[in-house]
Amino acid sequence: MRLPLLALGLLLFCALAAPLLAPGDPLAGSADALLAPLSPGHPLGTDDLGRDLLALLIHGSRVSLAVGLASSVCSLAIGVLAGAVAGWLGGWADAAVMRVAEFFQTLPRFVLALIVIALAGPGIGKVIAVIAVLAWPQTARVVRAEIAALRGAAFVDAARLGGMPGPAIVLREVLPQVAGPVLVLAALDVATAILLEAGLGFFGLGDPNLASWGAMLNEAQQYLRSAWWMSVFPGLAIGATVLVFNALGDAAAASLDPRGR
Amino acid sequence: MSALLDIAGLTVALADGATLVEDLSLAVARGETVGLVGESGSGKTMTAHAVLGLFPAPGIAVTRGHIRLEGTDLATLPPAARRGVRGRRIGMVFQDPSSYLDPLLTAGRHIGEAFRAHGVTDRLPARVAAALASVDLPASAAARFPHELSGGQRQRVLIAAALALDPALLIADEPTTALDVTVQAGILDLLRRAARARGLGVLLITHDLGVVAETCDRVAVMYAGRIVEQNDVRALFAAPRHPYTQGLLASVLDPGRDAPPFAMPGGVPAAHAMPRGCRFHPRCPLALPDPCAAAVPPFAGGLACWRADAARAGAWAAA
Amino acid sequence: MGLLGYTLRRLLHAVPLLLAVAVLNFVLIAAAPGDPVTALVGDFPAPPDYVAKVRLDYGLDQPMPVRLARYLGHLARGDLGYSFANRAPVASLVAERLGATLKLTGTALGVASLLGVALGLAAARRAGGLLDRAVRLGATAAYAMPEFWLGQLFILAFAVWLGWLPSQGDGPLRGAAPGWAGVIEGLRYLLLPATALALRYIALIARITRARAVEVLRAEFVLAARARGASEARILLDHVLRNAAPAVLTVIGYNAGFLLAGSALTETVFGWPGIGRLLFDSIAARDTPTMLAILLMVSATVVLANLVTDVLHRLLDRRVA
Repeated sequence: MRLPLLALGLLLFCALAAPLLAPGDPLAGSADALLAPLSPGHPLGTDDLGRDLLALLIHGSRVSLAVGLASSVCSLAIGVLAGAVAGWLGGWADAAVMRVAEFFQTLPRFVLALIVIALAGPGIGKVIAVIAVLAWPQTARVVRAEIAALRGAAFVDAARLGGMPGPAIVLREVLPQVAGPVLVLAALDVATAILLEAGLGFFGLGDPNLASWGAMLNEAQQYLRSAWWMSVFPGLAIGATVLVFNALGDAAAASLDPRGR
Repeated sequence: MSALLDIAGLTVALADGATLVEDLSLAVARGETVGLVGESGSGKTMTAHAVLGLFPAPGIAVTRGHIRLEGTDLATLPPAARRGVRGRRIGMVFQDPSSYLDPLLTAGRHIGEAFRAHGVTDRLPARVAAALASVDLPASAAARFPHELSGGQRQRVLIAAALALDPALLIADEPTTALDVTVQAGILDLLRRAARARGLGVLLITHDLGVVAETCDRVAVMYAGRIVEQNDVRALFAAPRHPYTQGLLASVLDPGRDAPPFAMPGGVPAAHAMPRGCRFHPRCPLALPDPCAAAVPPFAGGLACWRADAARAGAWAAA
Repeated sequence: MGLLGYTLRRLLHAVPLLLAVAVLNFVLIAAAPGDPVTALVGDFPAPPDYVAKVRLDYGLDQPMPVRLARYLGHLARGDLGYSFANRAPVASLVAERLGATLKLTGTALGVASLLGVALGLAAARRAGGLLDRAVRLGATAAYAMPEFWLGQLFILAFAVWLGWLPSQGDGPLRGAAPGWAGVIEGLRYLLLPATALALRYIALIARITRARAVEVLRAEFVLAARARGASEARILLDHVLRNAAPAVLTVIGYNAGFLLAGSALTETVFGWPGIGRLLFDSIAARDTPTMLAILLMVSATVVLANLVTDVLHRLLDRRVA
């Protein structure tokens, strides 16, 4: 758990301190250093527009983390709300929410996100919204199952007998119980969202005004034969970031599993 | 009587040295049914696993002693030969037939597995049908999945698989504990008949003294990894000599008796917290600081107790 | 209930899902910014009389329910629209590319299933051992790598630096050689994209196989099989594999959507002339009819893959209610 947390801290630092770490506009290239290989001036080389790859990478972490974290928080909110309603109310509300969840789970996330962004035009907010709308069902399922199981638990009955209203019981007594499994899902959601955003960027649907790792790989594709660094470093950044969130999710899951302790 | 199974000085220990079975000696003759009784945690099941050479968790191993089957020391056999003994010379029946049957395999596949494991592959359907018939199940049961069978039927399938290759020794570990009372008698009767018909030696592991009285010729009582008393079944029930045996017998429900059943105080110590001296002394009403708490009582004349004389009058009378 | 009955019921269950997917497509067209006819025709200088015909055909001047009915009617007749970017009906465009995508995804899925299961079983046999740790580490790493980047790395290593394998397309431009030489030539083109696509699935399948196999190996029925003298190899095949299969199958089947997405990205990297490449091109060209047809097709494939998975799951485990 400690190592992934440390790596997460480093990533967040990179993203927050990007303007300090790599001052100036990362998107402004210099015409005299096109496709320049690794050198002291450009530790990771430059791209076809003469932009410094290290600066692009550091600024690119902002897009990846923003999309990953924001979409995960949004899908968490939708999922917890939907799951709580379904699990607590049961009956037709449960059936309705679960049908909708099932439908959203059937949709091919990446292809749908691609097409929605292609139709609606690029924009980081739209990407976050699309991912969140497609990712919530899994959270909803987990929350619903946990709440349905807890509904008859003794401490919940006690709260009900004590006169606490339903929503307050869910909020104060039940939700803390489901926080663990939901956080595991959230961490894995961040990883999936980062991969998805990179894929969008690779398909040329990234915001042209922002440095993004996926878009860097898109450009790298044409220069594979002349500038390997354009592909290797952004890919490493994506892989490492996804790895960190997967590891966080796995570690959280392991610490929740009573057999693992 | 020539011993079919001869266990001598068996010690089973965890990797850290804590012993689950200590210095256990026990023999089973052909055609004889020997009961191994004790509370859970006494090491009965570990003894059975040691005979098979299979432990349910890693890190458990036989550290001393011999296990001879038909004169061959199993403990020194190479792994492949040991596997050849399992199922062919020793059959094993387990406690809960639902978890010891693979839910995705038919009853027939389980019995067929025993044959195939030992290279018998011809006329399998007929062999499986015969094995099923020997446990009073129709041949059509071969196509059934475990969830389509009752608990008693499942146990019969396990017994059929254990006896498929006509082994010399059958180890039955709590074979009726997980079954309905109404089904138990049928299974015990089946085991008894199989033992008589095949001249089978049976090691019956149970905590149920009623089962022992019904099926066994001899009984060994285990406590905390050691055998404390061993005797002919009638003699043991008529005149238990070890305070632990006396306590066990007194705790059995007896409809002919007015008094409520006796509850022995305390419990079996954990493997890591074995008391010094006689392992039963913390629970024994007759225990003395010396020798009971100081030295292990020797096993002699079917008994391991320092206070044998005092126990003759009944150890729990005062309690 | 029999397997047939279950399959029929499951098919019935899939119909509303498919319908919902079609409606979603319609909503996307309706909600797309600008004139919906643009979404149906694409961003192309189409002849005005064609635009007028589409407007009439799809009832774009009619109220919403009529438009939806018209749209579904077109779909039901297999009419996916006309792509002006390619000057061809979308249905024939898609049909043309289907083979290449099936070849790529089929190979990747086959290889990933075999290797993933084999690695998972091998790792589970000695849980905690060296191989187990290596497999787990490798799977964790492979699972985090975007497949399109892996594709680029493979091109860098095997096409650019080593020069062993081709990096673009699904075969030589001037026609394949006859006989075995042609087959081998084809495999040389398939090797890199299929491996890049397969790697994440190998990781995924190895992980679930290992997890299930470790559980099954601890089961009491495995102890009972050992007590019957069954060998470890037989136990792995007869008990472990069989009991792990439903979970593994579910993971494979329910990731069909991700496989197709991965295929779109991989095809783009390797210039593989499949549906994914078509999607990339249609997005670049703002060729909406083709985009929406592909979305519809991919969604339908996922619905069907889930259906097949559930039926197979039931076939493997008769206890499932």
